[in-house]
Amino acid sequence: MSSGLLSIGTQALNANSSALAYTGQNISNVNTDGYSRQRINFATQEPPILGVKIQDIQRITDKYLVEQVWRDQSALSSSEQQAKKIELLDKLMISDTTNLSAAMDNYFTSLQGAVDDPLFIANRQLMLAEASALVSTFQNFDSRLEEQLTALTTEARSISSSINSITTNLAALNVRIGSLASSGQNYNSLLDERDQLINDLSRYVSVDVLSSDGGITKTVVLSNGEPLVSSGQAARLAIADGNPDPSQIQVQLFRGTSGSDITDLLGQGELGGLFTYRDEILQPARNEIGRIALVFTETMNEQHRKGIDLNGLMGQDLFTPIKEGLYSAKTTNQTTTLSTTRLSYYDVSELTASDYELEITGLDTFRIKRLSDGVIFDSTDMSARNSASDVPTDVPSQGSVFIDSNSNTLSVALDGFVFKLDSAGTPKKGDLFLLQPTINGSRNIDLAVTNPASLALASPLRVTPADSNDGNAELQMIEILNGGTTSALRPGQLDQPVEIVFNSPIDGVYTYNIYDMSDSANPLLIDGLENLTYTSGEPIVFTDSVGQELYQITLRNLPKAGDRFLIEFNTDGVSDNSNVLAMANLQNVETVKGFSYQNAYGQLLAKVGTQANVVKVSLMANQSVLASSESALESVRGVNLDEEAAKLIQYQQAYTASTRLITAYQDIFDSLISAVR
Amino acid sequence: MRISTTQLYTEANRNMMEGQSRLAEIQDKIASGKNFTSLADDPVGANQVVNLRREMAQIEMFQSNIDATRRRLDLEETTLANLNIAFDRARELTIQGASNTLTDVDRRAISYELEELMDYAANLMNTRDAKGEYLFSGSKGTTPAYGFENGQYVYQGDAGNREIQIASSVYVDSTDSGRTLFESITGDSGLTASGDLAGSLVIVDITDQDAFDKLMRASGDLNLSVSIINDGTNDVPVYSLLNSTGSPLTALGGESLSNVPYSAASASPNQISVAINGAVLTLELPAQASVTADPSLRVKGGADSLITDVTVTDAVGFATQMLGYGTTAGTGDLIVDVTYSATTGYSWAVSESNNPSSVIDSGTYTNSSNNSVKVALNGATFDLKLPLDGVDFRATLAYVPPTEALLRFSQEKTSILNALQDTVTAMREPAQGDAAALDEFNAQMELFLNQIGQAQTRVGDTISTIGSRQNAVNRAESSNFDFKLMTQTTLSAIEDVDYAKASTDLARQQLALEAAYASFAKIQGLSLFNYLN
Repeated sequence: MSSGLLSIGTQALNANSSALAYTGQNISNVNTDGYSRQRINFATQEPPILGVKIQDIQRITDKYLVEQVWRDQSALSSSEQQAKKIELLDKLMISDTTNLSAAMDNYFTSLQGAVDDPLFIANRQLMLAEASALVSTFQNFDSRLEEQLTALTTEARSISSSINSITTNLAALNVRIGSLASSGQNYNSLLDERDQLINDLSRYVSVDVLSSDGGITKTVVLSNGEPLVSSGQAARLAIADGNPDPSQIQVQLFRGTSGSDITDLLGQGELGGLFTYRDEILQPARNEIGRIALVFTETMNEQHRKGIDLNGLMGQDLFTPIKEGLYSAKTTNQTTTLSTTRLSYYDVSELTASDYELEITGLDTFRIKRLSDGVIFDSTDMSARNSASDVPTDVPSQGSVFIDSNSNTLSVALDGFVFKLDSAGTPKKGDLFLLQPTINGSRNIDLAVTNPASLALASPLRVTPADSNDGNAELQMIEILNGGTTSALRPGQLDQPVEIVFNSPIDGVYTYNIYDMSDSANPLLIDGLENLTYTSGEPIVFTDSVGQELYQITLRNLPKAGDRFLIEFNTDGVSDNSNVLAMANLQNVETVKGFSYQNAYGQLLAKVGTQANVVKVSLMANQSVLASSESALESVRGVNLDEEAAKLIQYQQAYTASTRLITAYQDIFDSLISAVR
Repeated sequence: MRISTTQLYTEANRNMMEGQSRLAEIQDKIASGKNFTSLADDPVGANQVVNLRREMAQIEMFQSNIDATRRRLDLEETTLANLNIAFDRARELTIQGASNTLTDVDRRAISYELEELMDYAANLMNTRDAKGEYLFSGSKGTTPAYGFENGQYVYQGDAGNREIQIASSVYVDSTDSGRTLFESITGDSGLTASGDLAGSLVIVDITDQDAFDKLMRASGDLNLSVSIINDGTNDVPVYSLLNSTGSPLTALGGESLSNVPYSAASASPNQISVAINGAVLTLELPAQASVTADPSLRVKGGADSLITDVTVTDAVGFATQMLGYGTTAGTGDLIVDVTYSATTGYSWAVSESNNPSSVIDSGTYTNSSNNSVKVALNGATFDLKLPLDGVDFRATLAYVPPTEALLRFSQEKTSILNALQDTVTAMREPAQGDAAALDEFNAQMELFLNQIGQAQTRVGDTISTIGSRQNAVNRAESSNFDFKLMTQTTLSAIEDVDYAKASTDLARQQLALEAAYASFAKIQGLSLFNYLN
């Protein structure tokens, strides 16, 4: 019985000194990230033996809170990543030096200078300088966005390599914990380490954690169930060129040698946030800026071509025409495309700022998905045309199409662009193409005119009333309807100068005849243009020799019989400003699908601003969500020094008491010995 | 609730970081003076700012347009005022020179000053602006407004004027062309003829300028034609003089100038005189034998593709049928009617406009294989290519005489410079003691005074329109100014920081941060270990 006291004392000493050791462990790890405090649980020895034993060393944590923290960490990292990126874009767009709208203002102001004084060469030079500054603003803007895209690739690479090292470590930990568990040793700190690693992982990517053996091995899976770590096996992430568009990188998951695209499965976390930013903010912004550049180039060119320059020649394109958008074919497509495949435009004002996906759905059928809103245009709903050249005319909103199965070509016009697919074989079901009509607009904008004298600021036509005119009729407006390469005005002359001659009125209604004045001494009545009814303010349309509308003249007020207006080429009309006035007026015309250039840019600003704001708000929300879940977890597993101080005293005293048991035993033993002696 | 020690520190840390970042944000606002330093702060505001800035830029642009326009209008006004002074002096000199008591020498002396004035006026008209552009040349800014050719001042510019935008929807003309300003002297009226009968108009003798002008301004271009018709016994040549709507003119004697026969000796020219309001025209009409072309048909006011292959077998018979003779009315224009019915197809008829119930030919057709029909007239046939567009159709076929001419009213305008020059020349002609020469001289002086009156009226009118344009410019300027102020206020309200609010916010955030510091200082001192010895 007395030896029982000694063994009780020894056990108590052992137990309490262990308890002191774990208290020490807790105190020393008070600042260790991810440390879960440990507690020794005592129990009485199995009867009939008396004494205490260490039941277990409990790791105090909460599995559900831990997982909550992981999820919240992913959400926060995603918002952080997006907030960081969008802030750059935000600053870029709000800055005065890169602000496109400010550059536009300067350009249009310089145009007004030319309106004031079209002959003054300094005004023309200023106009060119401002146009060139505007071009650089567009290009810079796009290159900044492209830089972001490049930076994004680098960052995705570094994140995926971090992920790879974490998953490797996790797999190794699974193995170690398994072997420690089977040999019955304490592996609590490894569990902490593993949880901490998973926490690090969820900073990069959204994961779920499963365990089938009570937490000894953990399987880490992506949101779709694709395993990243499965017991001792770790999958590897790699960044690869995008498909179909190589510049839009994708994340591939390798288990063994074959990789699969998991870009859409990343969920949240820094990597997910990166791609969300790219797909929802960066690319749409590039598309939008590209669209403004395209519309600006085309509308300015169109007007500029309608004027004449200081040398009396019809205007050329002021900006280099942007003729083609981008398309890319998926590498898994069964037929390759030929070099004649191209994406061009039929009406830039109809363009949207979206990418499109064209998928072959069968023999002679396909469908196009507008990615911005997911609307699907099926080829069977499109207006069928008889030839490829017919496709871009009078395109209805659901598109028009011409398919030639003999030559494996397909032409489709939709939303302002025309895609002509020319493939080496019959396109197979499932073949996929990405169409990006506007993404390269801002990069490709360029100034084409460099000589100030070549700026076409004057109207090519002049209207001269005859000396003998006595009525009040006067010229209101000259509008050129065709300034294109086929325009009859292009050679710098009007083949057929004409004269509008008023007849005597019948019942107060004036009629006019139109004469061909090629030989001014011998006016010839033009076939069919006789006794036309005159209405003040109504344009009179003139066509060229092949019946194409060439220009229109608007006269106003009442003429008298015999009043004549001669329309001829504006030879030497260098001081005329009508064309530059028309160009300046484009500033307020709603050319970009219902918006002016600058309003479209303002819309983009508001859109990016709203997205930035949403990201900012969700960042703040995610911060406090993570803070509260972390706090909840910490309150369970974290070390409280006061608590440990109390425990220290408690175990110290128990230890002291236990030593007393041994001294008591010694006293008893001594008493016994002396009694015997 | 259980609290872990790290929690205390983490919480405190977070609170302090948050406080600092808020402070930094407010500080940023105060330092930049901008209410938002990123789009995220106010996306809608950012969009508005773009629009408002554009408006501001436009207003500033209008202001520079206003300055340029004002400069140009001022220059124009000064130039015109100087011109007016020169005209006044020219008028004085003319009155002085018109006195019959002056000798040839006196007049010659006056002519020198007048010549100086002419040069001065010409120089003023060729004024260039600060940038070297000719002010009064219309759109031909590099061409001087007046050149001197063959002893005459000739306007070399055009009628263009420059429109400039001075407010969002206000445009003003910032220049006036010399054509409207200085080409103010109405010269003689006349007729110019073109077409194969053009040579027939030999003399136009204007007896009453005003009456003739009035007649021509009511008639429009005239058509003179000659046809050969049969009067029942003989073939005779007839002429017509029609106005622009095809109605015959009336001669002074009341005779309608439609199909008027004239005697036609085959050899000599056939000169006849026709008196119309204000003028006597001398026509040299062709002999019957020289009218060799056939009359024809054309589609009036429409494309000629409707008729093809007009074959004339008997020119005189054809003309007589169309025009009539004496009391026998002709067919007049031919009316082609097509009526379409979905059930029975197309039916067509050709009828006479002078007698609509008289149908020359008619028929039906259904499609492109039988829509070409041949119509026979007296002395001619023609093919009709009838339309197939499923709607009713009407066309008028007009008679085309074998030979005709277009007579157009012309009225020269010239500048006061040429009038001045004429006066100078007249003053240098010896007239002393020659009653006839003096009369001629006085007539020239009277004419010149009249002309300079016209010129001064034109210049005066323009000066007053310049005044009203200057007013418009001033009005635009002041409304632009108001608008600018308003835009600026709106812009400032959106864009600029509200300092009162910002400094209150700053103080509040500062207080919060200080409180966080203070509480942390207290809490971090607490530990049970401090109490254990």
